Amino acid sequence: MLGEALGALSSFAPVKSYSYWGFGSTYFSDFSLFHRTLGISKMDSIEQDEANRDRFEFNRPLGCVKLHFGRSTSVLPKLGWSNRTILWLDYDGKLSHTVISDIAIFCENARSGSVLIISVNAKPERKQHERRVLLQGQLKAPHKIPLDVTDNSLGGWGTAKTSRRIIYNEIAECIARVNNRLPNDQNRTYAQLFNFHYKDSAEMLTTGGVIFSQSETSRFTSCGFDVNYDFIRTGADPYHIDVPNLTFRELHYLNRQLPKAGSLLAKGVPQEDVEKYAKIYRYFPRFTETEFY
Amino acid sequence: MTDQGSKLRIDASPTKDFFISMIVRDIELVDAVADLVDNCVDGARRIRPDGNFKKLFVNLDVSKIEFRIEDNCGGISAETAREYAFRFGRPKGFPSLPHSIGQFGIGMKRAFFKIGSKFTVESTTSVSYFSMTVDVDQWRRKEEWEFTFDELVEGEEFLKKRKEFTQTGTLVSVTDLHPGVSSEFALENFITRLQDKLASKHQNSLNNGLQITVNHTPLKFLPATLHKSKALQPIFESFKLPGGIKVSLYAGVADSDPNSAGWYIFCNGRLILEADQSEKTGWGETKIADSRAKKMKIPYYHNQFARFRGYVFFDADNPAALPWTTTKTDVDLNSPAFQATRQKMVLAMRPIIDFLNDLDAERAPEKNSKPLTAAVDAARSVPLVKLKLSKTFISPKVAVIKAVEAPMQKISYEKPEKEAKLVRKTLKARSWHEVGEKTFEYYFKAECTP
Repeated sequence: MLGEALGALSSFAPVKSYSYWGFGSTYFSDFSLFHRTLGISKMDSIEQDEANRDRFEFNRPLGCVKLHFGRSTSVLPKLGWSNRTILWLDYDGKLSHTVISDIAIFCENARSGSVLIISVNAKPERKQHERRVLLQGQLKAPHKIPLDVTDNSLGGWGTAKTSRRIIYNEIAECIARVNNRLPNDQNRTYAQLFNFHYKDSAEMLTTGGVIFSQSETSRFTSCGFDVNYDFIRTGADPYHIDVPNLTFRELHYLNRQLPKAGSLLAKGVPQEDVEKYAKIYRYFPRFTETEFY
Repeated sequence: MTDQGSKLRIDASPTKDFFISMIVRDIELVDAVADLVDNCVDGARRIRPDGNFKKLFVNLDVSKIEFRIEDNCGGISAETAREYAFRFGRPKGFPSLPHSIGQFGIGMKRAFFKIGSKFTVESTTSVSYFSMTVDVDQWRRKEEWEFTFDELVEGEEFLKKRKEFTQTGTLVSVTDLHPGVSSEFALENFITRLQDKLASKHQNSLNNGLQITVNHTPLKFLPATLHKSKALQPIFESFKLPGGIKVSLYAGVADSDPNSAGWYIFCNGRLILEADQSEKTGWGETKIADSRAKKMKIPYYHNQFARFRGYVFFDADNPAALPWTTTKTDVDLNSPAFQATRQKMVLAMRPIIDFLNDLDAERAPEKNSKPLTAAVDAARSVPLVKLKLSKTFISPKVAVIKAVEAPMQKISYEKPEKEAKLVRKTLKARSWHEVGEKTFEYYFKAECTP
C-alpha cells in the first residue's frame, strides 16, 4: 500500500528522483520493492549491528544500496539532506526517546516534499497499572504523554493510538520550531497520510506523511492522496489491516470474481475472511517471492 | 509656562513600545498564563478567607485563535478596575489582600501583551459589572495611558438590576494572537506542558478544592507526601521570620524518582521552585556549620538521593516580604528570609543524606540484613498536613557491628600470563582475586596446618 501511495508523489516531484532511507536488516525487502516499483536508485540503509557487517554486505540486493553502520540517531545527521527523501524508520521496539530524536533530525533537515514513515511495536504492556509509567520511562522526557492517557486507555489498540498521537505531536512541535526561523511562505506543514494498525505477533503501528512548505502546497494537493487511495488516514482514525488466511486455490477463485459489487463467495471460507480479502486484495502478495540464482 | 521653562524641561517619560517589549521579555508563555490563574486564586481567597475553595472554578480555553479564562472567584469590581487593576505597578492606597499571590501589579497586563493584540475583560462582583476591550495596536499610538469601559453598571443602577447579575466572576478573552503564540497554542505538547505546570504551581489550591480545567480537562495533583513509619520520621519544623513571615519546613524520603527529588519552595501556597537539585537550595554547600560549629559538607545532587524530598512553605500577609522574583519562577537568593531558611534546609539535609548513603550501602550483595531498606518498604506515604512536628530525622539505628576482625595483610604479585591463565583455569576461579586467595589457602592448608 505504501508503495502505491508513494507513487502518487510524482505529482510533487518525480518519485524516482527521491532518496529512500530505511532499516534494511538482512532482507532489504522494502529496498528491493521501492527500487522495482518506484525506480528509486539513491538508497541508504542504516544498520546498528556493526559486528555483522559482512553479513549485511553479502545480502545487499542492489548496487545502488549504500550501507551505513551505527544507530539511526548518529547516522541520520551525516546523510545528505539536499535531496527529497522518503525515510521509513521501521523500529524493532516500542515508541522511545530514540524515535523522538530521529523525528527531530528529520524535521530539522528534510527538504519540502519529503516523507517520514514510522513503524513501532504497539503491544500493550502486560503490567496494566504500570503502562503509563513505563511509557514515560521509554520516552525519557516529561510532558509528551497527553493528560487524558491512562493505564486503561493504553490497553488493546490504545498503545497504537497513543503512539500515533505522540509521534504526530512531536512532528508538529518540531515543525513549529523550524517555522520560527523561516519566512512565512516557507513555513512547513505536516500532512499525515498513513495510520495503519495491524497485528502479526503483536499489535503494530505504521504512521507517516509528507512535510511540505507553504509555497509547494499545490504540488501536494495535486498528488490527490485522499482522493485516490481509500487507505489514507489523516487523523486519529486508523486503517486496520486484517489479513485472512487463505489457500492459493481460494485466492485464485476469489480473484476471478473481483472487483465485484455484489456478494463474493468461496466454498467453506468464512464470509468474514472473504470480506477482509476483498478489502485488500490488490495489495495481497499474489505469489511467494523467491530469487533464483 | 515661559519659553525658558519649557526649554529646561527634559522628557523622561516611557514610550509604550519600549514598556510593552520590556515587560513581556523576561517571562515565558506558560508562566504568563500561570500569572492569570494566580489572580483567580487571589480572588478565591478574597471570597473564601478560610481557604476552602470547593465549587470555585477556573476554566481555560486555549486554541490557536483565542485564549479564554473564565472563573467564578468573586470578580473584579469597577472601582478596582478603574483605580488599580490596570495600573502598571501597585499604586498607594490599593486595598491589599492578606496572603495574596499577586503583588507587583503587573502579571495580568503582562500576560495580555504577551499573548495577543486584543483583549476583553468582563467582570461581575456583588456591587458592579463592567466590560472593556482594548486594541493594543491602537492604544500604542495614543498618548494617554488609559483604557475606557465599554459598559459599566455600579452603585444604585447595579442594585436596581441585581437580578441580571447573579454569577460573580471574570471572563477574559485574548484574540489577534501573536503568530508565535498562536502556533504554540496549536501544539498538543504545549497544552500538555501547560496543564502539568499549572497543576504543579497551583497544587495547593487544587488540594483545597479549586477546580481548574484546561480545554475541558480537569487538572489533578497528588498532595505531597513523605514516608513515615514507627522507625522512620521525617523532619517538620515551623518558625517565624521578621516581616511577618511564617515558615514550615518538611524534609524526608519518598519514592525513588530522580525527576521528583529535591526541594520544593512555596510562597503563599504558590509553587515557585520545583524539585530543585541545585546550589540554590543547598546541594554542594560547604560553608554552613552545624550545631557543633563544624563545617558541614552537602554533596551535589546525585541519583543516589532520588528519594530525597524537601518542602518549604513561606507564608505572609504582605506578599512583598516573601523571597520570590517578579515572575514567581524563582527564589530571590538575596532575601534575608531565604538565607535564614536555607541555613535550616542545609541542616535538615545532612541526616537524610547520611541515611540515603547507608540505604544505598545495604544494596551490596554481601549484606545479609537490610534494616533500612525494610524500614523504607514498610513506611506509608503520608500527606504533609498529617505530619507532626519533629526537629530531627528519625531512622532505624543500624548497629555498627565492629566484628573483632583479625588484622589483614594484602599480598599482590605478578606472574607470566601463560602460567597465570593455566592456574586460573585449573582452579576454575572467577577472578584473579580468587586465584590469589585459593592458591594461598591451598598452600596454607598443605604446609601450615598440623
